Amino acid sequence: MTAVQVSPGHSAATVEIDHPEHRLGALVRMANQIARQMVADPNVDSVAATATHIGKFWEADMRSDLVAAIDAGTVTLDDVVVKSMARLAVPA
Amino acid sequence: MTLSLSFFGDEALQELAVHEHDMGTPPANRTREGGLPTVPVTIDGREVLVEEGTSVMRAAAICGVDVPKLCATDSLDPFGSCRLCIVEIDGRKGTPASCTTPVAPGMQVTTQSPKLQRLRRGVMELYISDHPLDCLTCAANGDCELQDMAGAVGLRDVRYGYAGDNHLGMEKDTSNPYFTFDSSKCIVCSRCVRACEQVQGTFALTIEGRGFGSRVAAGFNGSFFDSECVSCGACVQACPTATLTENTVIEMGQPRRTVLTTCAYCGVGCTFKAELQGETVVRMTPYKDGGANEGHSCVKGRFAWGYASHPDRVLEPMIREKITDPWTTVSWDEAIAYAAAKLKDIQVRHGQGAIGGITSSRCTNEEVFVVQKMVRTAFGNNNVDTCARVCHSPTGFGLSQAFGTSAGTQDFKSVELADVMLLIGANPTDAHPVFASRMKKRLREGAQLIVVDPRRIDLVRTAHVQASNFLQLRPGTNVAVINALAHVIVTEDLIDHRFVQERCEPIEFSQWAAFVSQPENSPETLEQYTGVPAAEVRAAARLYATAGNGAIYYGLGVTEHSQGSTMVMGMANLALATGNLGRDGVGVNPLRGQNNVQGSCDMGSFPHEFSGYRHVSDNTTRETFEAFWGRPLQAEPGLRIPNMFDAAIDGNFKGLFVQGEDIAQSDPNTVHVMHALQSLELVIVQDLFINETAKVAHVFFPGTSFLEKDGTFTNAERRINRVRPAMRPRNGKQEWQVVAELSAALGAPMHYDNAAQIMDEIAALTPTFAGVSFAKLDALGSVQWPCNDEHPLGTPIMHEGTFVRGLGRFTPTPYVPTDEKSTRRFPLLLTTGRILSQYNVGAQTRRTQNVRWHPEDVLEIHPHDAEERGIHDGDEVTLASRVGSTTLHALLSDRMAQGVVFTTFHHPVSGANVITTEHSDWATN
Repeated sequence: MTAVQVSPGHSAATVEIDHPEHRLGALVRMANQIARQMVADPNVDSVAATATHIGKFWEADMRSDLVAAIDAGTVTLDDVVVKSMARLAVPA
Repeated sequence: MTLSLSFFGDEALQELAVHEHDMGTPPANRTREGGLPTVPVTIDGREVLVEEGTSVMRAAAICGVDVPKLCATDSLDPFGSCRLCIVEIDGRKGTPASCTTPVAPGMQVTTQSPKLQRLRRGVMELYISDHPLDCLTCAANGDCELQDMAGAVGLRDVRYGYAGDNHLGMEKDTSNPYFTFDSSKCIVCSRCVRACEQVQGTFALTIEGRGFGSRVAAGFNGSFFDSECVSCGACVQACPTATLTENTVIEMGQPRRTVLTTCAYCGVGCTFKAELQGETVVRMTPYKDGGANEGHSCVKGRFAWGYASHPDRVLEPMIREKITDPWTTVSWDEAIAYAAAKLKDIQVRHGQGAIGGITSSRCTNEEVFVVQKMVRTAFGNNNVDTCARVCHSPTGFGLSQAFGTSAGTQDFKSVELADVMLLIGANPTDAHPVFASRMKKRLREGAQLIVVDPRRIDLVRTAHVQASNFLQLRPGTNVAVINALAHVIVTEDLIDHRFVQERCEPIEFSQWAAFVSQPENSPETLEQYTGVPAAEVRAAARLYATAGNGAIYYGLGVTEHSQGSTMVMGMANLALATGNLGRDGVGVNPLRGQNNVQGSCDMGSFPHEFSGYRHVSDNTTRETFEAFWGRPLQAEPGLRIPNMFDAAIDGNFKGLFVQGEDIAQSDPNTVHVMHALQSLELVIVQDLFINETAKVAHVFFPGTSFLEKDGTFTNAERRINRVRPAMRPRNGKQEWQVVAELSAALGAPMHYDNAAQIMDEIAALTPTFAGVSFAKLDALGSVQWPCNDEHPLGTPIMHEGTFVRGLGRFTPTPYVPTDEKSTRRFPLLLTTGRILSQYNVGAQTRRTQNVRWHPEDVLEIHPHDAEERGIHDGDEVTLASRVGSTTLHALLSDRMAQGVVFTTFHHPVSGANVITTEHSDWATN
């Protein structure tokens, strides 16, 4: 589903399109999304579960780029993500 | 009738004999519930044991005696109107109709006698007295039951001339683009009317008038096109005369050759007879013994196959340096060498991981398998993904967590024993119409229905079907609704404790029960999010838990959400808690969008999994593949489709092989997708047409239509069906051959002589397919995986006795509102879907007469929302989100609640995915 506006006639020019999401932005969004699900589940260790999930599904460069961004302090991430990424072994 | 079925193999024309015998009436026991007691009867001196309730006509057919008939056929309930099937029964007066007379123990039946012969001849004489005698020029000549029966009863003359009133001058209805209704040839047997009611469940046809004036009518004196008719073809199939005839048969004549194959549209996977003259298709007719469809079809599979020979098809390979250059047609060798050189060059300059591939859910298992193999061996990475990423990977994730297997639990036939169906986020009458007909049939028999959907789909209220509960939730609140249902089931103790105790993980159950029992998961609390009245939720929960067999069916309305995987686990929890698993009539069943979604996922299309859903980091599995393929394989997951796009825009990903999918039109956020594609140095597209993706490609490999393919599709019920070539590849090569040659050019040769050898390799490497081979499929018709030593004939119902993972696992499913929310700037919520006549991005259906039903995508908007904006029905409107905008015509409709709008994405000109955003499932995005 998508939040939209509907207006009469052909008026595309009135719509201001958001700037496309950057790759790093996508990584942050996805990591935070995973962490939110894990945190919401009272029966799991959210840090361990987030680390396991990202380790299982994310390609190595995605993981290393997110780690690098955390180290550089250039992204705002859920604390659970930060802790989970610290646990992940990222291939050289 | 025995058909000689032929198909083109790789070496020579192969023959396959298939028996299709009309038994006259359906079997007494139409389900697998258990055998009925048998009774002995004697037919023309031959004794036979048949199930109690069997008709005399069917009993006769069982012992090889075909009683003459016209109004009877084994797909329909007996009707007893034509009087041709009369028989004599010892001890009974008169000559009863054999179709409506059930057998009785010891019954002695005579089907042939001078008296019966005389009576039948008299009946036929009356029929023929009002029927044109144009057999030699009739389109049905050679395929006409009336003609056959006239011969069978020995009709030699007709005493009644045409001087009196007759129907010979009635006008034809040619309004339907695919078939003609010629009322002058109608014998009013009602087979078409009954097929529309009993098989299709639409009730579009009727017999109007009385006595001599009785005629078949579509709606209220209207044309077929303007009626409720959905063009499924069931009436044409049922017609015993030339009254309802395919236009292609009228134009071309009767087919001479038949190839048994599988439809390439939705995930139902209907088996069809491709009926041909030479290599030209005359018609496609549904196959009675097809496991998924049992002789039924929809407008797409039955009629919309003309795209395969559409002039838009590209049949020769093409290359170009830049996407602004014109295409250059080249030989296969040149195209493959060009693509291989470009891919190698990219890897030299940008690294091994700079290229990848996308497999297609429209292609065969064999075609998909070789693409992922090429990526893993020739590309040397795991950057392979499938279009099912967007729609159904949450199913794989969610169901594997709960049950241990990434697939639905039942076969379609199982619905015949469901007592209540919980239908969530799916619109089967449009998207899975043949299965919808099976659902409707069961609902007419008394099963109940709960619909959970933001849109009032047809099944909420349609002919002779009405949902008991319609939970019209706000988009994005599926998980809240499933938790509310679970809350009621737990707090009102509607749990199947015995099932839970015997079959489920006890600690996880306790944790889950405690979680859903919390007040924040009550229907009353969650109503503020879902918009569904708490009382409705409570009623639906009680119904699902207590009505008997409860079956969950769901579609993309569940999976294409930020909590798609969570919702799948939530539905699994509900089924576990109520014991609705592991037997007929129950289960958790995804309705797959495309023909081979299940198969493409099974075949190792995901970047983290080999075939059979085994993680690439699993050393034992990886070493097995390495040994078989003779190449080292990566243990790290590769890029998924959205990650490929992001990496392309970021400059780290440079080359993409796209098999049979139009990602530029089908994937969300078109602007983003196009930005990614245009950032690539090399896009290779293997497809039938220059689609939206091919417009930005550098290499075009012409693909094959399903009529040319040789392989298998796996449908939503895990059924592996054969796809047999009805004609040679029009492009000169099977798609798997092209991929194998590209792989060889990259240094990783594949050694296959035919598609059967690819399936043999799949079977050797994939435990759930271990027992599958083309030979077995040809012998059995189809099998449902797992098919291995433990289940040599396949597994229609999964998890009987034990789950694949051992014990069923409950998982708490907290509701997390999506970030995609309506705002002051974007106050409405858009949902998208499919309609009956069109299919996905429309590449196939837009190139058929189906466009007459849906020439453009429209925006369905609630009248209140329209009025607030000064929009009238039919007005041009602009639909915009934060990522893009498009223009559509408005269709005022109260099928959605206020605040929700709906459109389809079948036409590239409207491009609904220009609007949709990147929010997808958290677990599998």
